Amino acid sequence: MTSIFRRVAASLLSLACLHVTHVAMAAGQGSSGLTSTGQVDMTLTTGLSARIAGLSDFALGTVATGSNAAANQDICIGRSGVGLFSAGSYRLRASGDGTATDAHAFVLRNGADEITYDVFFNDQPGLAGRVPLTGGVMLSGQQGLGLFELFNLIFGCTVRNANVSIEVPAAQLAAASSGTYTGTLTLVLIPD
Amino acid sequence: MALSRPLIALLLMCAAPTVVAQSANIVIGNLRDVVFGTVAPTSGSLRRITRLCVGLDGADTYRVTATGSGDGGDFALVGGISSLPYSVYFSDRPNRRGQALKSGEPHGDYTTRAGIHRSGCRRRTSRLTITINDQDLQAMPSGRYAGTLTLMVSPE
Repeated sequence: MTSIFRRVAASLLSLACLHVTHVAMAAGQGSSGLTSTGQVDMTLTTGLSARIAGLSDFALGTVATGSNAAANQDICIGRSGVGLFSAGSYRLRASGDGTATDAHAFVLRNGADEITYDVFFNDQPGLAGRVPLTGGVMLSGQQGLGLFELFNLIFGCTVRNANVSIEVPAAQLAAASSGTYTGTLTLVLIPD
Repeated sequence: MALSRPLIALLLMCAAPTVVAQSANIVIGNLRDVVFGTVAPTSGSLRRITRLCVGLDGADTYRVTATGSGDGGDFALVGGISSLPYSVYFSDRPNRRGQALKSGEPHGDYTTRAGIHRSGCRRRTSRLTITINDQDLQAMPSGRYAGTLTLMVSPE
């Protein structure tokens, strides 16, 4: 028997989480004279706030060889800069613990023993329509409803609007020695 | 009695009206800061409009010279080592975009309504438009960008 524990650390890496620093500004009005000079201060902040919430650890439990081991969970994607009823697109990148040849490979370890696994992402709850991810490669064009994304950003995991799933192929299980395998999956969310 | 020529000349000089050069006064006011807020790189082109006041007394037209706070007075917002260019348009009408200004170069032939100067320049006589190109915005790394635009007006 091979026990596999898959742990998704609640790695909320939210790129472009920038907060506006409020700086006292006041336009300078000109005074009357032979010339008059006024000044206008201008500010702009690029980047948006993003939040992944509702993540929990994957515990595949004790699995038997001969079939795939799989687990999935619906999660919450939140972002700013989107209208309530418009689609807020985003990109997502997943990385595993990596191997000597691939720094982002999805891999579970038990000492020197390794098992690779597959990761899928869906921009809606459930598995229907999910797409496979490649470690370290950005998945573009993901869509969410702005209203739900704003709720998730402001209030935490309010509406589960995406799904992350993993699968350990049976062939990997068959080739693995018995033991407990663990790893960490990191998700990075970038709002467009 | 015939007057001598020097006396006639002296009398003419005394009768000539006295001309005193009067300087025209000008004032710019009603300016407001331009806050673009937090925007996505894919927000597209950005535009902010400020309606301001220019009051002029003693002249018909005025000129405007705008200078940015980027390198060499460029119109640019600066964030760290990155510089985000913007364009400036000025019109002497509150509802027109007007012409594009070049940093440090005076642009003239602007007019304003009479009496604005004396009334404290609270009317909105003119329009300042700031635009940021979408491609420039997309090329910028995340961060906070800030700058100052200086407008100098002078009678013509």
